[in-house]
Amino acid sequence: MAIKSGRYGTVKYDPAGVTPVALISLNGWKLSLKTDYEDVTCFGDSNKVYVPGMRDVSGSLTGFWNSTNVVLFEATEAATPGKLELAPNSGEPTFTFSGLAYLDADIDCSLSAPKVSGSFKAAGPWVLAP
Amino acid sequence: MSSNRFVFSGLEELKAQLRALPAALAGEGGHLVEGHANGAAATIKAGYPARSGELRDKLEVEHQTSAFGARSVVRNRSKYADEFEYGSQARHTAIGANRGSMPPNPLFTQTIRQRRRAMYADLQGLLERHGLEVTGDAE
Amino acid sequence: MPSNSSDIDSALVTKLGADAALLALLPHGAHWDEAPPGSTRFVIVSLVDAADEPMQGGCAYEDALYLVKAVALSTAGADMKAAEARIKALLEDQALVVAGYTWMTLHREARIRRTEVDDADPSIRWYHRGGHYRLQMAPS
Repeated sequence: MAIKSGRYGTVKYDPAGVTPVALISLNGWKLSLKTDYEDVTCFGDSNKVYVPGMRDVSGSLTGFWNSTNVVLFEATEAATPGKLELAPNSGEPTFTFSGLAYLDADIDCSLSAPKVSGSFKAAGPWVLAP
Repeated sequence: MSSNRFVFSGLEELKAQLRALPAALAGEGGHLVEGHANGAAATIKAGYPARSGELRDKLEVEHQTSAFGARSVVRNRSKYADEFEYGSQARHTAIGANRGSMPPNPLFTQTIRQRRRAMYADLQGLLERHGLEVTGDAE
Repeated sequence: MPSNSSDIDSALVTKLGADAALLALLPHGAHWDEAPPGSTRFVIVSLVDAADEPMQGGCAYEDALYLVKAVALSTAGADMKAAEARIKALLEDQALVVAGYTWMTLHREARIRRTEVDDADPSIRWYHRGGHYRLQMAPS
């Protein structure tokens, strides 16, 4: 498999949590899968030893304001999580990170094109497909 | 009385890093600014026509650095620099040759703008490497 | 309709060249980069710098800086002040209609004013007056 470009990445979201649909005018997303570690180093160990805790799934989105698709802002009012699906490259549509998530958003309206950013946190189990 | 204690480790190292941050950023940032200015000048020089050499010879770069910042200025002191950049109409040279009109050639402006965009991206990377979060645009 | 950046250039030249008030001041019309030989009062439009702002799956918008200036021979009797003002009135915050694009912004970023003096005959002078105009168009 070759290295692909993030230029063709996609972000899809469904507030109903079933079938995500593309959010438009985005230019980046980040996903963090950080895990906490507990230090369980004991006497006699030759180096520090850790055990992992739970994975913390969260991330962010960036893009431009586009009045034809305000789903991101509507999601900030949702009382229930929607399904978020992130793909690094639309040419490999089966490779996705997805799961239920709560979203929030910011908009920065300056003299240039208004910029939109958002962040999300997992609201259920996340999977890497395939 | 409670016997709980909060212990923060690494605070002295953090303070030392924060004190050194401006100088570190100025040092590395200065190199980036100078590099982009020199690169811009080289691109512009290479793009100028080589007839009398006036446009190439009169292109200069000036660097100024301090503990907290860096500034580089690229300028062309040739009297023909404006004409080359903005275009000129039917004209004659000092020895009377008719040169005709010349369309605008924004080599200088375009190169500076492109290099400035690249410099801002590199400066953003520098700040992020030092653990800072960067938002917004430089211009 | 697929977008073509050259259509933006053409639309700018056409808009300036079709304005009766501007033509009255600069009767030799608006031209890209160069006016035809013999022209003494005209508008020049030229591309200074351009960058495409990317987004996932395409181009979010095209960001271009244009040089737009009135040019006139000193003996042609052009009202350069009025010409520059008319150019600004036609462009500043005025929508530009281009097939395949949605207009975002058009505004002047900087003035330009210079007098070009002929090397051999200093009585031959050309006046240049106009500005750098920022035009952003989003492919639709």
